[in-house]
Amino acid sequence: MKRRNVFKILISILFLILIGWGIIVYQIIDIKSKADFYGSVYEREALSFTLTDQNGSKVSLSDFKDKVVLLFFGYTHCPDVCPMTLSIMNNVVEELGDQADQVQVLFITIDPQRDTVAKLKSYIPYYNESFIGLTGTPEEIDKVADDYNIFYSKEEVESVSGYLMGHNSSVLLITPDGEIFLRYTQNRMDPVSIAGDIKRIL
Amino acid sequence: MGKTIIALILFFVLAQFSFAQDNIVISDAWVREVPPGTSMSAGYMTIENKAKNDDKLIGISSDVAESAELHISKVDENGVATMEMIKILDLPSGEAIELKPGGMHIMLIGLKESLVGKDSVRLNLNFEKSGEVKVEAPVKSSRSPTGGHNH
Repeated sequence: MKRRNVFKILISILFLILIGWGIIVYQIIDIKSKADFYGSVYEREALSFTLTDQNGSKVSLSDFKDKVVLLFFGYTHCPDVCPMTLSIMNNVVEELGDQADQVQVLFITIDPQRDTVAKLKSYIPYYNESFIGLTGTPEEIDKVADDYNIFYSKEEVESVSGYLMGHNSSVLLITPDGEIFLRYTQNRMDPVSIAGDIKRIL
Repeated sequence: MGKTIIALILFFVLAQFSFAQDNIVISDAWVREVPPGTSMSAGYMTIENKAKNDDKLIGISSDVAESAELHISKVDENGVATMEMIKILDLPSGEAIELKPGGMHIMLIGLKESLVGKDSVRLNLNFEKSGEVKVEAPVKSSRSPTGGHNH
């Protein structure tokens, strides 16, 4: 009788321990799919690409294997949304402090006709010297935008500005293991919250 | 007698002038500093029509840009941002319209000089009824003070 009770207690303790471990393991596995990230969970493979940076060097996504990459598409003739986004990305990097070197901001132009290597050189480092601006041939840009599900189009408007570009302005967060994990649309651009997501992932 | 008449005329002229100035009230105006060599920038502000009558913003110009237009950025449900030009902005009596990043903005097209290091930019807003209103909009940096030196 007594032995049976001891056995029961031992089984119960073992059971509780197992549940505890289960919860811990579940949390570790599930940490990424939790819905309480500020960005919206996207979870798609970040396809590889190679483009030319503002110094004329070839840059591939795989160059940033151990970093969190913040990737977005824009153009330097963009007067409102793109400068705003670049400025916010600078705030995110500043917010990260010591961890800033574990993050890489990539800006891919969707207007390669006007955004040459030299143009990017005078534009991108202004916002933050660590930022990388990427351009390529129209075909290369088309391919990357397509791979990343980024719509863009040239818009001939009545404006005297020549042409403007309509484009997907979301910022994509790519994890060190090569997944587009989160997406930030223009209504989710709070730098402190974005930095919070990054700190959780790092 | 003559002096009184002149004073009266002066009073009415000045009163009218100050009244006209009060019709349109501009606040929180600023222009975004952009990297040297960039041809476009944007200006933001709140425009309030305090007059009893409706008014319209019919034109904008600036010394620093070849041209200035009112545009609105729109982001659709798929995250695609586009801009639309607003040729005439209606300003109903008593209403304030906010121009802000990611929304309505004054597009400065063909910058003639770099905005970096400039304190302010003069914007001339032309209203249908209130006439021209000059705004001295401070230039605000797009990066924080330590921007560009982050490692």
